[in-house]
Amino acid sequence: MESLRGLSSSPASAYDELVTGQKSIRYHWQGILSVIRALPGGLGERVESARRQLDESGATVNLLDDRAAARWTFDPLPLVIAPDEWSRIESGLIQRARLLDKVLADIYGPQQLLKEHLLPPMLVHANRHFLRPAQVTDGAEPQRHLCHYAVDLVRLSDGRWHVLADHTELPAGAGYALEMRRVLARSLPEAFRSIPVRHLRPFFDRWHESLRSVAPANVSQPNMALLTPGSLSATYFEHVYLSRVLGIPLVEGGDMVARDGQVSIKTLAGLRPVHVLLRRLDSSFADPLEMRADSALGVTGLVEATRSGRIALANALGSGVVETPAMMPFLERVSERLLGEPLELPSLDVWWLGEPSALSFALANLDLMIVRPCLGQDREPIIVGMLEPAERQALVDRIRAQPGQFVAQYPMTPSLTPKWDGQSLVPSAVVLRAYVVADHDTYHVLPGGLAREPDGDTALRSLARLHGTLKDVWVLAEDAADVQLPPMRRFHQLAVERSSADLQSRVADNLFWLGRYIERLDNDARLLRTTAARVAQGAVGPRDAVELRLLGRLLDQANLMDHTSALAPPESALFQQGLAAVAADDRGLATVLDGIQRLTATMRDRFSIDMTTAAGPEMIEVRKRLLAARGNLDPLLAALDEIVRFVATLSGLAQENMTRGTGWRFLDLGRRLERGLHILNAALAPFSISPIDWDASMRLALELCDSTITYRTRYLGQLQPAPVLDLVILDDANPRGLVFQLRAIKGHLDYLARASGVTVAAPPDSLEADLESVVRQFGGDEQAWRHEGLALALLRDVTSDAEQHLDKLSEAITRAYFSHVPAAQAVGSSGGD
Amino acid sequence: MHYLLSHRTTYTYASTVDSAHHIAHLRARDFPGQKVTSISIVTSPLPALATQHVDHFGNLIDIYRIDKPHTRFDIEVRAEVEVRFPEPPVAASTPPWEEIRAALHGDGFPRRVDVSEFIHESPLVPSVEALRAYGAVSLTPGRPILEAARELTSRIKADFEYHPGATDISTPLGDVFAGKAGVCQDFAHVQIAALRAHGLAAGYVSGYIRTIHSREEIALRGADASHAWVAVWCGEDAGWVHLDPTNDLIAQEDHVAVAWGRDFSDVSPLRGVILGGDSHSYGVAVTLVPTG
Repeated sequence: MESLRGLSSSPASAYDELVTGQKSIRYHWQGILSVIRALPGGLGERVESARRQLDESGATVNLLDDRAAARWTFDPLPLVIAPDEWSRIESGLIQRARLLDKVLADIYGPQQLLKEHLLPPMLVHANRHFLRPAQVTDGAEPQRHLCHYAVDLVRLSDGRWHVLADHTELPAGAGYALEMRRVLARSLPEAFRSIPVRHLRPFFDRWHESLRSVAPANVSQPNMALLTPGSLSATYFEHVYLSRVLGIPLVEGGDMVARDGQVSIKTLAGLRPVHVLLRRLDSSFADPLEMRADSALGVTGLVEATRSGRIALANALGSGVVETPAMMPFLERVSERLLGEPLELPSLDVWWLGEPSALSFALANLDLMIVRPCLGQDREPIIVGMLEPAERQALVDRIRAQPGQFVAQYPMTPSLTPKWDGQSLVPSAVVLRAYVVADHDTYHVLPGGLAREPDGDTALRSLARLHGTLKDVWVLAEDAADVQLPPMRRFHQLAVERSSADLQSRVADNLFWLGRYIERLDNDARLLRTTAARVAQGAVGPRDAVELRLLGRLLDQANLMDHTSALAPPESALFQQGLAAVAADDRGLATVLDGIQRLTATMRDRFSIDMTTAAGPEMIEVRKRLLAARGNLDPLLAALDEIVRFVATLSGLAQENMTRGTGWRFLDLGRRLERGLHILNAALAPFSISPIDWDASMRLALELCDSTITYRTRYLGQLQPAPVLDLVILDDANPRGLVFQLRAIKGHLDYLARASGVTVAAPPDSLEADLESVVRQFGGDEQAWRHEGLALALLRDVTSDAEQHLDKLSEAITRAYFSHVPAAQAVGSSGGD
Repeated sequence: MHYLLSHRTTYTYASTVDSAHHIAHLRARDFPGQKVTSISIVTSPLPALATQHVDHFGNLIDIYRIDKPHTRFDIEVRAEVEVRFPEPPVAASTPPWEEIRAALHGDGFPRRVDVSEFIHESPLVPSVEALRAYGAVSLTPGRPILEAARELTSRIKADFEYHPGATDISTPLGDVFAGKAGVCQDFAHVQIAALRAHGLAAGYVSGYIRTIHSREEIALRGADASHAWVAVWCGEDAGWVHLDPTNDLIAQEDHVAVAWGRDFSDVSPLRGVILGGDSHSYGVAVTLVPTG
């Protein structure tokens, strides 16, 4: 590490964003500094509030990605950029975007640049991002290759901004920039009142326009969507966020099919054509037919559909080919050739070692340089000065064997900008990521972006990743009038729609199961609570013993406790140990909690922030407490109470915040179906014992259906089977009763049939009549029902009948509405003999 | 030589396939020395959509989409092809291989962009150190390119056992080399890797080989199935010369080419994505009849 210190240029030579050479504060920073100085409680508490908001929105971490590295933190100090400075950057970025778009058109077209020796052919032919199936030989040429673009910029000691990296394949982070601005505007409102900071929002409206503009020419109302690899993607938060900001649905490859050159989204009502895809899926995964055959994330036939010109991808397939830093040394000449203009923004000095002169230069200065593989998958920088002699020799051998696979560059000295270290402002290196979208014949630049402090000792580390410390970028307007919001997004007449059947089949499927899982969690928690409360009382009397034996059977059946301990005597240590281990990973409760977490995370785009917070961070907390309770009944009971309350919160949010469209219908359908099954399997199960012991059965049935209080109010606590069964089965006003569920299910199925045109039959009306006549059997005096074997058998028959109906219904719903397409598989012949 | 070709591929599925996409590199194209006078492709079931394209390498691809449920897929090519690959140059008079390499590298800017594409690693032909060493035995300093490449072809034929089933398309090249056994595509990949490791340009050619030699009636390996061999760049004068390491031959008039690319993955005869079907088996029948 010692040697490295000599390597990295001393910060003394770095450009200071804040302070001039004469040690005075630059004019454009004075506004923010005076706002901070005037804050009554100091900056610290504002920072806390902003960080909390970002954590809650899920922006700082991918919920399904627990790698700590995926996290980033937020610095409240923006990078402030003066208007004249910005207009130079802006103009340079527009030029570079125009240039790269033309370079892409050439690479995927005639390849004149290679033939004219302006670009080394190896940068294309050996580049993993060069996708030969995207080469236009006879099909439709994309209207535009580069629809959006991100650039990393650094300001070097000479005070000029230089391009550090181009991101053309999956330019990420614009959504984070907008979210960060939203949060900062809430936590530091005084700054935005007094400083003319340019707005970000209009950029996203233009982005929407830009997507429309690449739609196939004959489509006047293009359907657009954002193609995501799914919730496991590290930038899934941004996909969800962008799809909301741009007002286009989020789709995964599995949501779509290509037929006859047309790509369509599978919805409840059938196939809905899609014309433009904002592509956030790596090109090589886009189509298992023509790209990587092992891709399960793409759409079979997508490449062919783009060739036929019926769908446009933004960016076009294979746009990542110009990302390689090896292009940089050649762009100046390419710009002269394609645009007839010199480059306005210089690139960082990079040597592509495929040229013998560059190779000998780099080998002569190797110890001072950073070497990067530039064409394959791995593009990690190697700091030569840090290598052991043997490693260094191995690197030299690799370079000599394939020099064209490497670039070399010197460590750079990014400019310094103030950062909040928790106590005060300290200088820190900064890299600016800027965003560009196509706008008719030219490009438009986001007046802002993401600034970040690069990780590690050298700023070349982790260039492409949005890790570390991120901050907002404030581009100042010449005068406050410029900050007025420009006119709204251009008006396109929309057909008025209510509760559409456009819901994607996959989303309907997820909502249905989320409904079932939430309900199952509620039932499981109540069952456990009922049990734990009895055990916690200590002395187990004969009455409790009967109940606990019944509960043990139910716990076994629901896989909440392991078989042996669930059936052990309730007062035994074995039973109590089993109860204490309910939160263990292999038990039912963990499965249900996992399911809810997974489904809410994958459907973040469908839910409000409140709902995802309830299901995300809050649930993780509950789960921790459940695990911590291990072996101790009081905290276990408290955690179970919390789960029941948590389910109530979630239900309340769903009930009050979701429109009663198809989505909510599926969620509620799942809940009703699951609750119906719970009543049949759990609440009525205790009646299978001898009627002599039915006092216990009745108490449990009421408790598991949360109907004890209603019963007590109505019947003053005297337990008899007819009124108990009436309340838990027949009473259509009891939301915990069976008939209530059956009627709700029927209502949902009717609605869905009308909305989608696809009908699924509800359980027959005769079921309700059967239930009624059985419950009537228990109406006689006590002697009668306590000894009535026939009524008992009838009850057993009708409940098992009802259970079968509900099981079949779940299957029928799956068949009718969900994407039950079998997984695609690749087939192929061998090469021959 | 004039040929009548028929090549039929059949997939049989264990259960119903609901829909399928197939991409075929089956439509033989013209090459220097080869002219396709007529060609037709028929599938059963008939496709809902069939399109044709020219790919990056100038090959003809056909894409089919089948919508109706089926348990069997047949695709048959019938073609008439006239073949006479150019007389190979006298091996000893071809340029030294180092000269070819230098021209292909061109200090980063080779003159022949179309040829230099074939000097790089490709999906099924990564660089394998053992293969570099294997190639070095023939690529001795100053040796004429074709002499060296031709010897390499003979060595592969001698050193490797022709053994269908010893490998499949997923067997890594290093394992193929270590096992010293395989089929035509393995031999072609071995030779391509050995040449590219020394900076030379080599391509993979898919096609067929004539079954019966008119008089001696010697059945050549690779008959009654697709075949594959190697095209090696021998400089501006000689151009691409086609070498068949499976049979230790220079392709003349016994070989009919269909398509070429960097390796098998660029020219896979038939590739598809199906929905349903469970497991599948396939059969191939090729007849190549000389008609004069």
